[in-house]
Amino acid sequence: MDIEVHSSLVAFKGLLNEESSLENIKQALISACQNSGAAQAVRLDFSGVKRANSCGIFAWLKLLESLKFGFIYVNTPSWLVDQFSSISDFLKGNVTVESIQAPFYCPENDSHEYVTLLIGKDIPVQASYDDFAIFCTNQDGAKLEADFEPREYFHFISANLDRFQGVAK
Amino acid sequence: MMRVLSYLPDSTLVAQNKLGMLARSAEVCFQKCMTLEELRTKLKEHAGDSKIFLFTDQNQIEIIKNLADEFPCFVTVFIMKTPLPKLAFRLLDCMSAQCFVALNNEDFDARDVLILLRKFKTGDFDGIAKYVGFGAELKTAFVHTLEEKKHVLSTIEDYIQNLGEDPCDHRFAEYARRTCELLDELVLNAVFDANPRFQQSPRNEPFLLSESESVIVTWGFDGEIFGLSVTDRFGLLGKETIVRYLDETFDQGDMQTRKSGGLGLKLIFERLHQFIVNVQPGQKTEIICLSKFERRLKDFDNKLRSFHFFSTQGK
Repeated sequence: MDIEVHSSLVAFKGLLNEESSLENIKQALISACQNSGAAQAVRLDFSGVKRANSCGIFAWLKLLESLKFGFIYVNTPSWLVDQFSSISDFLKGNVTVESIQAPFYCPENDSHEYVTLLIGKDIPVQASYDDFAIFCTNQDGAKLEADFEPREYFHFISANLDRFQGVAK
Repeated sequence: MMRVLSYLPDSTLVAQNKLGMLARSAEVCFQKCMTLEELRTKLKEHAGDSKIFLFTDQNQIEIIKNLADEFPCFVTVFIMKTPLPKLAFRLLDCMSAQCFVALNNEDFDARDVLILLRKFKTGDFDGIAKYVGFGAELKTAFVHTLEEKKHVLSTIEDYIQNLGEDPCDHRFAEYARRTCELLDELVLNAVFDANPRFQQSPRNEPFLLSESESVIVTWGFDGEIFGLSVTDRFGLLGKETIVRYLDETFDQGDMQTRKSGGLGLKLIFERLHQFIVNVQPGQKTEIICLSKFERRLKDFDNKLRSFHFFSTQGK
């Protein structure tokens, strides 16, 4: 997995699996935390990571738990959003999520694309998404329909309301 | 003689009749029980039969547990309206439960049930070819090392991505990603859980398997179903292990003290529609995963999953 540090942001590319170097990741996180100054919070961009396996996820969670500073996920890809909802260890301690990618379908072109959504802006923070609907347009102005169930996809928000009400402020 | 009983008080008449049609098509003796008393009478009457398979609704779990104490001779197939991980904690001690057929929109997949009945009838459990239709070209790869695992992952990723009209279409990229995640977990399990030589090894270490330990990966697409199977040569996987790890209430303890993530099976189950496990104890475990690449990702996600477990033990 390739790792790039840009100020307080760490961007990852490749695969998160048994071959990911935890030592390199740890050094990058510490360096980004130092760059963040008093905030002591690192922004994590996994949008360049295609997928992960349980070895990679497990190692990642253990590493984050051992580091005592804050983490903010940005541009979170859908595989990781799914993990937020199914593994409670992701959103523990001083960890939050700023933005996520979500799959949309364009009936006009029969095509699929991902749209980045900001939590607290594009996605209101609420206790239930049962009756929530979200629509977008693509660059050509064509209408896009959400290709996910908001109740499931945003479950990690409704299950961590206190955490996200802080983000939304 | 194989006998199929149904006790489906919570299912529609259409679903009950469909089951009857499929049982007759598979040429097995089928009897519909309308009441619990009738079911009990039939079980008593046919206690000497070698194979009794009972199809019932998920709401009957507790009744089935009691009946299994009284009549230990039958195998239960549950028709599920609720995701299995939500009910798994109630099924852990339901020893007769062996298969879980998903009911989507009050209907179950005819192929799902028909193949299940034929497997019960013939005792011939193995093979992905039973599930992926004629016309699909099945491909096979053997995995002995981490490098070979990476190679088969990349081959299958390319295969699925190339099914799409446009290589940039996110739909097939998404299905390729989900399938690779699933395959990665299955191969890891086949190496580090199934093989006694590696059970104590950290899962992030390189591995080298001998010919007799190799993991076999087979895949194919028939235009409707994408099938993938992963086979190990040990046959150690039990139904209880699967149900326990699928249980959404299962607490795996503190992250720092866990041996492994224990995340794999849940991850696998979310990335398929049918999960079939064929075990020859002490010889091999074949895991078959079937998926329908729906036009909308949310249609893929919204479908309930089926789980079938077959073991030659007690066949």
